[in-house]
Amino acid sequence: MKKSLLTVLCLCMAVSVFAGGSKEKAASDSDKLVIYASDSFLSEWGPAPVVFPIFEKKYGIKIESRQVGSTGEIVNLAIMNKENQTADIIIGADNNLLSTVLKNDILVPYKPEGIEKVKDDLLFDKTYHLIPYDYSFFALVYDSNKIKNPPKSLDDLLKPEYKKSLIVMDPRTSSPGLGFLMWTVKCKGEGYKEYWKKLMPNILTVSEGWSSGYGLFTSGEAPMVISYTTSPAYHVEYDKIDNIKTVLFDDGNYMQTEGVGILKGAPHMEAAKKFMDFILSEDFQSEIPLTNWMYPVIDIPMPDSYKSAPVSDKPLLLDAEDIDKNLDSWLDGWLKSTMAK
Amino acid sequence: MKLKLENIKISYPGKFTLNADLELKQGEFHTFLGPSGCGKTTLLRIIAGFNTPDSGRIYLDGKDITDLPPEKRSISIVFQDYALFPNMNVEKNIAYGPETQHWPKDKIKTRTKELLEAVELPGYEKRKIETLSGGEKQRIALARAIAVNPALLLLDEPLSAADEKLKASLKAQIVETHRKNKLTTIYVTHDQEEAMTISDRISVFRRGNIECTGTPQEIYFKPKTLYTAKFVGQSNIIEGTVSSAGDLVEVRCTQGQIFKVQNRSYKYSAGDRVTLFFRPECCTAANGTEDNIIKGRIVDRIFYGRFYTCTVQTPMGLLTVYDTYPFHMDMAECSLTVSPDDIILFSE
Amino acid sequence: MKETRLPLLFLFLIPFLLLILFFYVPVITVFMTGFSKEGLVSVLGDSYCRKICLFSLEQGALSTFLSAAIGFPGAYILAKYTFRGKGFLKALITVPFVLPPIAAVLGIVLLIGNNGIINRALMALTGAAEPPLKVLYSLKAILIAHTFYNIPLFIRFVYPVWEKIPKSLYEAGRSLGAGKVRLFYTVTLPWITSAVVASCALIFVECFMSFSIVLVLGGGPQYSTMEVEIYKLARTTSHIAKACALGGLETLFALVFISIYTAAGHREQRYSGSAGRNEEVPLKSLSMAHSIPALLYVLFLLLYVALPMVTIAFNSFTGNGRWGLSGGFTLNWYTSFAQPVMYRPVLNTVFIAVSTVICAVLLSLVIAAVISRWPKGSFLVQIFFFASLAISSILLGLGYLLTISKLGFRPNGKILLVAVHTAAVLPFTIKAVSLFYSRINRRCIECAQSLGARPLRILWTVKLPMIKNGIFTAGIFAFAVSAGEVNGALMLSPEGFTTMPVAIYRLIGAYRFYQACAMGTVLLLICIAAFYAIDRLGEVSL
Repeated sequence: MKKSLLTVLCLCMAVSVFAGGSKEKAASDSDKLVIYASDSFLSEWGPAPVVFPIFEKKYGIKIESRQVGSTGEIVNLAIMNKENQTADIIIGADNNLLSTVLKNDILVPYKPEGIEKVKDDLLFDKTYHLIPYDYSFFALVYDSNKIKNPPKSLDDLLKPEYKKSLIVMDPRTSSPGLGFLMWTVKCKGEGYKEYWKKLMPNILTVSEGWSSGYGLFTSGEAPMVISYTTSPAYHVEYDKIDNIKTVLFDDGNYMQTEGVGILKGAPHMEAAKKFMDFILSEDFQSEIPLTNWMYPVIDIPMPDSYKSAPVSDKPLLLDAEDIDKNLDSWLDGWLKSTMAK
Repeated sequence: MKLKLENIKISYPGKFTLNADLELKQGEFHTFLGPSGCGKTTLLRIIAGFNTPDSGRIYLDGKDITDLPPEKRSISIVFQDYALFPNMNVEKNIAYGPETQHWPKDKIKTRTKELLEAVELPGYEKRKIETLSGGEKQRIALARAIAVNPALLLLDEPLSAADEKLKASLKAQIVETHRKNKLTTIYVTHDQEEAMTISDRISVFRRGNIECTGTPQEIYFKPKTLYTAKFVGQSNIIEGTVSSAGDLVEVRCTQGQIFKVQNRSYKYSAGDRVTLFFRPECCTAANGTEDNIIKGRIVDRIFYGRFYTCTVQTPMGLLTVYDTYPFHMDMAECSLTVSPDDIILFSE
Repeated sequence: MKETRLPLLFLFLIPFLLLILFFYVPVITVFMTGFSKEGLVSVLGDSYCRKICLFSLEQGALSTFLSAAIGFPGAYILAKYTFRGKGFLKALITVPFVLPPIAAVLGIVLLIGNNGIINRALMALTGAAEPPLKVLYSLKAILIAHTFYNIPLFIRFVYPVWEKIPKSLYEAGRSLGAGKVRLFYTVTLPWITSAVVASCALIFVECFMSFSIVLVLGGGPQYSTMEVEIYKLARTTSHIAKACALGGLETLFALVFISIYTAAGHREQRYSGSAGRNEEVPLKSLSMAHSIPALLYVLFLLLYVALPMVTIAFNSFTGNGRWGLSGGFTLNWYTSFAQPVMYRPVLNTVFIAVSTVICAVLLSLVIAAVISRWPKGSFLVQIFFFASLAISSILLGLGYLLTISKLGFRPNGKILLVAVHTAAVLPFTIKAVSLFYSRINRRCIECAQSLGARPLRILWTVKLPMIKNGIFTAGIFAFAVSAGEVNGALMLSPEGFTTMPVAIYRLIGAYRFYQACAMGTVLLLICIAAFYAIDRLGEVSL
């Protein structure tokens, strides 16, 4: 008994050491594409498992993806590897990261086929380094069973009836958190600090990431959470419930547009260009709503569930230069306001 | 020659340096005797192969085994703390050696059974080690050590943890085992009585050196050094000066007492300072005609059953004598004698 | 003996090389990249940084104190008494190790949150409109989460040492007229001090570096640790220098405690030389006055550790298309395990964890052998291996990215992942194995040698069986840490290779909250089963 157990263990050991090495055969260089993407994009429930095979089949190019973590970390890695770039494509750098990307000169501009189909106000990079592939709005998401009278504006949100009812994310560690901070900066200007001070009594907790914050919301801790206008669509599509709703604010909603770009020094430039074209094709775009839970950037028929995900007609955006210059001081101001208590 | 130690040297800086030359005959039961920390266990471990000597060679059955690892020496060892494998039962412990040598299964089984009978623990095969008493553990350790018929059996203070009664029975067990198997055995102990009763020959250790080697009788009655004489048994020691040396040496001690001693070496001449040594049992009551009459007074008597140990006040100091049954000495003045044959001289 | 030395030396080098490669190279890369005087000044000159340094220390100290204080009776009961379900309790208190922080947070929230089971029950009973129990989103909540993790850790560390106090010491003490209190101070306390100090140091380091628990349950940035700040700074390249400086500061703090941990472990080994085993008394045999508090404590411990996990399990059966906890019973989330996306992470986790166990145990054996042969250097050896505890996972992650970018190629992800997990568990496994290794009776090995057994046979038949319990303990820790590890798995695993904790994160990220609960439940079940089996195996044959 003992011996057989140990034999099995030793076998496992041998397998574990050798299995990994033998399987990964390097595909020949010309028909390969290396992609940096965020964890959520590459996740089993994200777009990658659906759209990558379509691309591979269509062009006969094998995709090798490298997940790095959040989008911020991807950009970091691309910058660190600048001198010795091994990847071709970077997916997920959003409008907030644009100035970082441009300043560090890690991308080459490319105007993909079909760019004309993209709505003009979504082209957040007029130099074509980052091409948008999806977008959404940060928004208040609430449970209509508990909140009968949802706030209609940032100021509404300060009402005492929402005491300890809101979950937000830390802008230092999460992109919806940062988006909400920018939203307040955009609307309130320097008054954002005052706004946050007044908002604090209504905040139940500040989570480090969207996942844990939305998890708290899902488990019923608070009836309101900062998320995306597209969030309710998921619950309609899969949970078959319609009490999770979002509301468009009178002030407008801050927009997040995610982009994709070709890295400077990409070893597989031709394949990378094909991928950029693919991004704007219907094949790719039609998968975005139900996998990445964002809006597509071209006009295509939307799933029914997206009736619950209204598009803001008052998109808010801060200037990329501005963000780059002031981000640290905004974060500082936010920190001071929230810690004041 | 079964075992030969040739110029074995190992030094422990700050402690002692071990020097050993020794030969063991086939089937000999040899004891290393000495106080603790004198190097006897170290020498045993060198023979077993656990310690490597700085220099010197070890031969077993004429073969140089100095550089062989312990597992290739065919030398078994029994430790003071038994060192039975706690993870195996009795049978597995005894079978360990034979299994290592890939004996056939049924042969191992017979051997185990036979050994358990030999150590008077039949039917103990499946017992777990922690259920055994100290004496039982000792027997199993012995059985385990001899299971493979080793060329040499080493016993490192195997009885020191046992009580008196257990000691006696285990000692008998060891002697019996040795008698039956004719195994050449080295036995390490600090207990001289154990050494005397069990051994064919004894090596007395003193700070890393073998002081002398001999049969128990030689060691006891004709010790070659004063250290051995003092270490083994009880002794009477008197100092004096040689006054004349012929076939009998005459030694003058304090207060004019003269001792006549058989001259064995003819190396003494008049004027030499010497030490006289004799065992208590060599000292008997005098009837007045013998040589070497000592006058004294018994100042203390301790009863030991078959004999008294008497302490006698004499001009030369206190002497120890035995008064054997039937008793004839009182707590009073007495007159004793020692035969010149029984006195041994050591030079200073 | 001489002939075996060369290959042994070679073997000894493997763990050192491994750790240098997978730990020291990345960490040194980080420090080389950005560690500077300006960085340190910028950190220490920042009032916010100073404040979170203080808070990190404060909540760490509080958590440690509470974990030790509450865990102490538990260690006593497990060491002294036998009772039905003890094996299960022992397995259970190991399980929190595998729970990724996000799952632990959710478990606690689902239990005692505003909409948690307890509050809803109380509201139903009293008819109150507001949740009566409001402990979350405060320092209290942080402490609850930290004690949930660390009471078990404390018990797990202390009771095996306590259990080894020889009965004879107490008997000697009593024969000399010592009463219970005096016996405790003169016998028990000196014996377990090292284990208590070591586990406290470890708990402190873990709480000091705690990240998501502090942020979420604390309720916001007024309760924040240095780790959050490092994370924030490390996200953008322009701040890497400051991140490294803060990381360096954090490492410095942690190193102090790691040294205490190691030194205490060192002292413990001296005691273990004379270790015996105390007599375990059935709890039933005690008088009511003694057994009832003990039973109550065991019950409390059971609930405290198990309830957050049970709540996760409970949730995994609900939410059938409806919202909140009002959802009815469903097995939907479990039937989804028929899909590869769900069952692959299970297989992957088991595969990685088992590989980690094997690597960690083998390497620990080698290192234990080094320590036993080179006792003077053992402190250095341990510091060398234990330093990995002092480096935050974020800093290490940064190091990997920097190193990989310098290397220009990516090693096989699975091997890398096993290596990283192995490096992470080595401090624990070395401790467990070397403790038992140092207790091996040398004479047994010499006996085996003299009976003709070669080194390999001795290892197999004598040494391994004698340190079996150490190996099992090490195995449990390795399995637990590997199965629950998130950061390395997120960062290093190759495409399409997902472990269960990562899957939990992703499921929540993909709005699939209840499916995540199901995944968490399966993770917990696998671990409980594994630990229970290992525990039984360990006791049956020794």
